Amino acid sequence: MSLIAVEGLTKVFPGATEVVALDGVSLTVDEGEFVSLIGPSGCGKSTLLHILDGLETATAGRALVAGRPVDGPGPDRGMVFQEYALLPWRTVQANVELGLELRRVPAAERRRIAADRLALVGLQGFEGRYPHELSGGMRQRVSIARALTLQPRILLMDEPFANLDAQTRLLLEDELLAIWQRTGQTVLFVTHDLAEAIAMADRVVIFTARPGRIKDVVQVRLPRPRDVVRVRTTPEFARLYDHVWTQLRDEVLKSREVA
Amino acid sequence: MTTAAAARPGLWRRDGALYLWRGVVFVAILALWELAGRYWVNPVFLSPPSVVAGRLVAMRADLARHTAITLQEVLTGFAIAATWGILAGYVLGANRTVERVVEPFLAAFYAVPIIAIAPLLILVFGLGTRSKVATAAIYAGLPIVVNVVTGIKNVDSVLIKAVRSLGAGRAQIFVKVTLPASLPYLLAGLRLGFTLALIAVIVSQMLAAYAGLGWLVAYAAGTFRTPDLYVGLVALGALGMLANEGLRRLEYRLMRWHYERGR
Repeated sequence: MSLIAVEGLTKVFPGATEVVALDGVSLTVDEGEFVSLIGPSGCGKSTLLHILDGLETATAGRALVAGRPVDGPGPDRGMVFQEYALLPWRTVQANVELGLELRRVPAAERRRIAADRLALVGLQGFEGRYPHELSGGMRQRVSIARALTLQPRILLMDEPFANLDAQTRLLLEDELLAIWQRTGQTVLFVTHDLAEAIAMADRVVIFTARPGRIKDVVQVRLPRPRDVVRVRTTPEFARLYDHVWTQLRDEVLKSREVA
Repeated sequence: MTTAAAARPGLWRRDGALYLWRGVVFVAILALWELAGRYWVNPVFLSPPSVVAGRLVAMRADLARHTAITLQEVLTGFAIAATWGILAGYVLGANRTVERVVEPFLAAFYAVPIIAIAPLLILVFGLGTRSKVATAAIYAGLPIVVNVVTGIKNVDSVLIKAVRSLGAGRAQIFVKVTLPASLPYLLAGLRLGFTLALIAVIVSQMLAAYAGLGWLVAYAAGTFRTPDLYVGLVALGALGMLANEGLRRLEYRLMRWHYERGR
């Protein structure tokens, strides 16, 4: 049985101009899989993550995690946001402990878990810093550490590296893959970077322009463990890149016409 | 971080020069005031600083009493204003529907010079302390409400999503996000509120009272005791400046994350 099953998911945002963000999306993801979601801006990929996390409800269709319909956020899913979403008045340590604090985990236990996750993302020694004292890359590491505290089976990442410079981005991509390989989590990774989508994932899901539907799912059979930079120089990567871009191009053009 | 220690001597020197120049400006103003008071302006309108200083020392016991009464009225009024202002602010901020209903009234109320109700409150509460406290309590509460509501509206929605994702319920969202995120606005509102409480008390004292710095200033003017009037003004200026600086420091200490973020 797949860990995540989305069946005919539709999301309509009501209002003066009704927006159909998702239109009958169906998708299954197996345990331990790394899946990239890619598509033009506003195609509903983020909305899909929000629904899976339980932050939003679907207008129609079902979203199942481990066979059960999603009913609000839960510790089995961790979310990482593009904007890091760290509380600026809390230190790195206090930010990472937040999820544990909300679930009334005792202080000593919180510290131990937070130290462990901070080590995992390479941030030992920064526990007492505030978010504004950190670079964007470091902030996103904190955010990843925070999402990992509750040991989620699923990591939902909403364009996590979009605000970072190109070099930092490559480093974090590599580190995320290393973490993923160690923890064996299932990752849903929204991005608008084609190369990133392919280099990271086992499968790339291509969305159409709004209303968001799944246009194609591309298997990425590049060997693991991967080096996200070196893998880009292989012929197979070039073939995949060309294939995905060909499909995405039309959708991007379509969304431009609307915008 | 590491450059802070190295930069300090230079910073101190620059600050030293800044304070020196401020001192120079201050002395120049005093000197000009002294000259103007002695030779150029009718002494009914302007008392030179030397005369004011002399009167200040002579009437120090009276001045202390008026200052104490004023301060007590301001603090009591401000405490009441802060209590209802903060409560109303968070109730309105937490209830979008209520806030949307009340918002235009609040905005209109805020735009009206509420200080004009001071005579009415004297009518209701009499010439004593109670009318002063009531004026301050009403007048100073409004900016606190408005600021708290603005603060809650400006909470970054992605922070709320993040804590919801980590399992926070409504109460936890309020305590862990809304409250701390709105604190800078609340403190700015309190600082503004304190100034308004001071204004409210002074105005009410000027209109009708037995004591207080506002009464002192009005009475001195009414009886042509110009030096006494300036003593009152100096005391009021000092009071306002001290309170503002104290609250500003408190604000900065509590809000380091807020002020250092922009750098």
